[in-house]
Amino acid sequence: MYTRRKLKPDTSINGFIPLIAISSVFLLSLILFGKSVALNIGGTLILTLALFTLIPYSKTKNLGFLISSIYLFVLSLLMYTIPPKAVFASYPGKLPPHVGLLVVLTLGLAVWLINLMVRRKIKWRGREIYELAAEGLEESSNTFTQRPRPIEKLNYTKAELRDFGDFLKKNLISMTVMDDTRLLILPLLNSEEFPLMYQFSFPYENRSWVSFDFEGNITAKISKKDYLYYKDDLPFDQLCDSLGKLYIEFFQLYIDGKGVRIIDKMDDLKISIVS
Amino acid sequence: MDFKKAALLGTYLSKDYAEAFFRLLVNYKSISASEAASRLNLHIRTAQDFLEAMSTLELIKKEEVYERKRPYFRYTLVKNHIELNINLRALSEEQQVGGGKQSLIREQLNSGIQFTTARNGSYFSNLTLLDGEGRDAKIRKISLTEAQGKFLFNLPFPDAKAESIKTIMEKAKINDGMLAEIKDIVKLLIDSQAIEEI
Repeated sequence: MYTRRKLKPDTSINGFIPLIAISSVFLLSLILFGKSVALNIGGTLILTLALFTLIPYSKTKNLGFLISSIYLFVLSLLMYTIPPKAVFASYPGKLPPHVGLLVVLTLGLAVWLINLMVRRKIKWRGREIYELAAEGLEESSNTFTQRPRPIEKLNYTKAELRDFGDFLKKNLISMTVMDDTRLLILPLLNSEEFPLMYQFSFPYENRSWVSFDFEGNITAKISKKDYLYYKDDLPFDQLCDSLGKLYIEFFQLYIDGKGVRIIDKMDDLKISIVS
Repeated sequence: MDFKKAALLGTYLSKDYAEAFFRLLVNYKSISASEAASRLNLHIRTAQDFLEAMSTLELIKKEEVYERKRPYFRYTLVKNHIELNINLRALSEEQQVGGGKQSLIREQLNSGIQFTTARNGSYFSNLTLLDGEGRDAKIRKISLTEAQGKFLFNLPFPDAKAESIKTIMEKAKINDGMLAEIKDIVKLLIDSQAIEEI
């Protein structure tokens, strides 16, 4: 059955910027300085990227970021050590054993990464969250307001909240921050995570969020930017309510030990692995 | 005495000629504005305004008299004591919004009002609204009490079902003793077209 998506299609190329930048510098170096220098420059850039990829891993503990970082690290080592003559040409000699090992490791890690990507394990799920929040809502007039909306009150412990926040982060369902009064949950659209991952402070006021405070109050806020991602004007009050209740449902599933059902629910939407 | 009448009385009592004027009113059976003005060395208009104000406050009685063709007013003191008694409870907002009825309210669509959330995120600490229109509009920042912040935090969205102040206060867990300050901010926001009253 065809389901009409509520969000506009993803046309952002932000996620590909590092790849495009490194490839461009590598090709330019290849043309200007030859294979040997290009491999060293490419290796250095990829090593830098590998180190940067450890930052999202440290913030989310998502395995995909760690595998990605190791893959990039091994690839950079391969670029430093592979004989330049063996690149883009048939190599008459035998590759040194350590280079052969790096080739095998690189290929193995690439396959692992592709597998994770296809299974949507290294994809931020903001798009799924917003689609689920808008399920069942019909087009209305634009009733946006920048106020947060109180949803309801629940009973939970701080430890449960912390575990739930870690689960959401680890599975890239949403970014979470625990401060001294509440757990703040931020649904992130794919490739929108960069500012949040690499900034020291956490600017959330102009973003969409759902908060679970330590007194049990749940509040939801949708930013204008995210509201405009929807193709149609949706009833804003119901949309905020629905977003808040979606996370309450996730929380209850998680507490009941059915965290996997949350992921199944999002996978069922079959949203593109790169959006 | 209501506040407006008290303010009027206060204004005239504070004039440096007020005591002398009342002395005339006490000592004369009746007096006209021109007689009082000439006796106190005031402009006739000043004397007329004073006497008209006292007449409005029912401290003196005015009577139209005819002398030749031209009618004029003579004023007679009717009270020997002035009591300035203001019931401040009457200024309470409790009975004013919605005329004491259970009026239903919600946020006005495109009100342009900006809310700042308190640090714990469960109420608003202040709001910013535009006073005036176009280029003359001025930004006005209003600090909210905790009760007001909680109330506005729970105010229905523009497309939500409007609710009574009482219902919103119950939702926000605000005790009834805060009703007056809640109504005060609601009245201000209705006047600023940030809240829609149905």
